[in-house]
Amino acid sequence: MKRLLIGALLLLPVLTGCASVKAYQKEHLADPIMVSDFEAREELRELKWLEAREGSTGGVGGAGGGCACK
Amino acid sequence: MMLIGPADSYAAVDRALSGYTFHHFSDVDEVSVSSHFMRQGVQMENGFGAALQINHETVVVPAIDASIGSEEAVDAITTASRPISNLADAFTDFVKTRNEVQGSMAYRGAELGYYVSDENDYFAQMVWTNYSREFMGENLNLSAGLNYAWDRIEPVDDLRSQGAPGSRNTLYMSFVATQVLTPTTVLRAGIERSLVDGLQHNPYRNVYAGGGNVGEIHPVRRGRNDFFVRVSQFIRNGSSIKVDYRYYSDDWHLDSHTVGTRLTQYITDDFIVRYRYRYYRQSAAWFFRDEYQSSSGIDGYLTGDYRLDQFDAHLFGGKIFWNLNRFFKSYDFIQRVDLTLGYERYFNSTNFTANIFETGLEMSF
Repeated sequence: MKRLLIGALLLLPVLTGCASVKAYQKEHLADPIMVSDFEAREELRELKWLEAREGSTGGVGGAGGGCACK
Repeated sequence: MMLIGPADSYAAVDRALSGYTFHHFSDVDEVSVSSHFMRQGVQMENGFGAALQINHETVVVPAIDASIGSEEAVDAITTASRPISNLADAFTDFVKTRNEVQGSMAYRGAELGYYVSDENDYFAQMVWTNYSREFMGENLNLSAGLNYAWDRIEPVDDLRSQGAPGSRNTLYMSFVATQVLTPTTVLRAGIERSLVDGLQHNPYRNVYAGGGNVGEIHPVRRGRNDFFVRVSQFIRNGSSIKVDYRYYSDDWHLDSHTVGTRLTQYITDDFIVRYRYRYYRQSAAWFFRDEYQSSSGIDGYLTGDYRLDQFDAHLFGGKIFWNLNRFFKSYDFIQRVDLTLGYERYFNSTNFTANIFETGLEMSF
């Protein structure tokens, strides 16, 4: 937890010290291939099967049990 | 455009979307999972949005090809982790279905949702809420989320184990910041914390300990933390590259590092290809052993769970996104039709491999 907090604190200057990008300059950022949820549904499905293979994936609850396939 | 809502408050529908995706997973143990995923969403001009998702899954765990308890069946017993209600059915495939429904509503950055999943031995429910807001001229987005899940586990009859019913509750919190760095670069970073309380082992799995077979026992509490960061960069030739890293640790002393990259490229205006690679490495949980000397394990805990061992894993693959609008020009009510096809391969240092196929068709109106 301590390392997580340190990581978050290190990012704060990056998040707050950036030059402002105007709306008319964001054409490329709005492109589907740049949008963060471009593959959001795929990533959710991936989390589900990775949760059955890896010890650190998942843990957000509600992904079903699948006792017999884990 | 259509109108929905009470007579005195009609709101115009800005966009409606329907989608269907077929997903198939198969691994080296011949376990397969086929999913039929349907999605319906609507976005109103007043900012209100709603979505409904339904998933129907069929899981097939293969038959055991040796007598139960025999040396030849050891791997099948410990890794397939399937119930066997009588000797005859061990030699036939075990098939189970999972049905999931998820509904959510969103309005001006706030979201509320409910999820339910039903299987013959597992019933899960979850509620979640999320709020996000823009700052600094819409260059910074901050988002906070909270989930609460409660699961009920009811093992079916099993000859080899006496897995007792149990429940599990999960509280999950997240905080994510997305910052525009330049007109072509975005940074996304977040922290997640979850607290899991209840049954966390597989009630069908046995462990060899002290010369005999005993049921798996995991601690009932687990606190999990992670930190992640992703940088997305647009490249002038019509492609983007995303690089991400995640660090995870929990109070079972398991920690992991994940590094991934995705290259997404326009081949034509309506055809996109995406390549990816992901590397994952984790340490073992403090009570994991290849072999237990006594049936009481390590401080009373035993596990045969491969997920709690130390290993590393690789995932790579590709996917295409094909916009089919030109084939539907004569249908005015259709705004967009997208076809997706994907293949990925996963393998790890414990000799596990899996093939993942995905096809999807999504339409918006």
